[in-house]
Amino acid sequence: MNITSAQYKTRDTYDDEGNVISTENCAVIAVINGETFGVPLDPANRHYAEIMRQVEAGELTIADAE
Amino acid sequence: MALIKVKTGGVDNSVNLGRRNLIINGAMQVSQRYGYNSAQTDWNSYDASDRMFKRTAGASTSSVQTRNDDAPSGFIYSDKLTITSQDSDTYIGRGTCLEWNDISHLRAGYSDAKTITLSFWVKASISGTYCFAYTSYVSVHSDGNAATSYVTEYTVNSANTWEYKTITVTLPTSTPSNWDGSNGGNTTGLRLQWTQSRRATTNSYETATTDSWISGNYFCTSSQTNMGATNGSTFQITGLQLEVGNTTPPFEHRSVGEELALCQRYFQKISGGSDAFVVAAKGQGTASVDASIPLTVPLRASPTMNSINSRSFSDGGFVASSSTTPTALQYSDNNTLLAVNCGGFTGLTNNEVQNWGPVSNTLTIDAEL
Repeated sequence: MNITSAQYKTRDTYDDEGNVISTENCAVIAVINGETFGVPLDPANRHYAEIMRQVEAGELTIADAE
Repeated sequence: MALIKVKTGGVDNSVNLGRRNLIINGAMQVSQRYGYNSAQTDWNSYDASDRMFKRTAGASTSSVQTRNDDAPSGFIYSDKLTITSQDSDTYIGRGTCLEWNDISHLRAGYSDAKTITLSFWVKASISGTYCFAYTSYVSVHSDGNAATSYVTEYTVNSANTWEYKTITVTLPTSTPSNWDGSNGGNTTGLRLQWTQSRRATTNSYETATTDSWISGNYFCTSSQTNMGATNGSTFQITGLQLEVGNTTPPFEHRSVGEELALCQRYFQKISGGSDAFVVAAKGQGTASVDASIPLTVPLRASPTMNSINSRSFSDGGFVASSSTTPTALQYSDNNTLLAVNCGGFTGLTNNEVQNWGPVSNTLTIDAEL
């Protein structure tokens, strides 16, 4: 699995007035074998498992969300 | 009064009772992603027959895998791999992963571990010795973490001829820590892998020990026919059946609808086309939507989704478009709705009802093992 980039995606949550009350990482946007995918933060997901394996091996860094 | 005696002995050996085959899509009936000449060289790809992966290492050899309509009597389809660029040091294997939930009754790792029999049809352009391997995994697809492997050899006697093979194995009665589902019952329990090409220089994944459960991540022996060294060589399999016991009843044909539903636990897709499909959504802030995608069956795990162009509509009509990749937001193992979030919009209203969907792309929902 050739993963060339990975970046966290955040999701805001809002109160009833539309004010942001929290912002959390919700997924990783990764380029895998040349295609862009949205990968959930689920260890049972094969792409996320491989991303984390490569991160732990020092082969990949997940960039912060923009 | 007529007396009818029901013979109880030997039923397992003589009657195909149905629901015996542990392999999903063994007759290659389902191919949701289907496409000819979609060459893949990555380590773990699903791109022809559903539930069939290809794994490569070394990757100097290119190959194409397709669902093919050349099959032995009794079948319509086979899974075919064709070498398109040769090299003698590339590992290539095709196979399928079985979810631990579906094999826990085999009792691998316990004193009452079951005997299982695999049967399949194979056709290869090069006759000779080929290898098949079972592998258990501690963690999902972390190469090197496989704990236990079983490698066996079989012979393709004649080139370009369909041949029927069976392999009977008793599962190991030790190393239960790798087989107890502690990583979650929805992860890989047993991987079945047919090798087509070996790494003749580096000898990766090779063992000299056959027909025995051994520690490590092994797929083949040095006797494996090296199809990767021959451009244009082909390898086809179909009629994959794995069942408890040491007999080989006829293949259990299931309806295409049943097989599709079983496959969709691992992969689903929504084919777009001029805003043909939209689902209920709401504005999440002004730049993203939260949407609920109806699933045909609950997914195995939270899925990976591909990048698409999408649009959102309210009761006033078109609101905004986005080219941002959607992501799964909430997953439940028994839920037939998948919550997703898609950003990249402008001008939405928080909590306003929207209808959201792909413009013309196919949205893929991938929860494969």
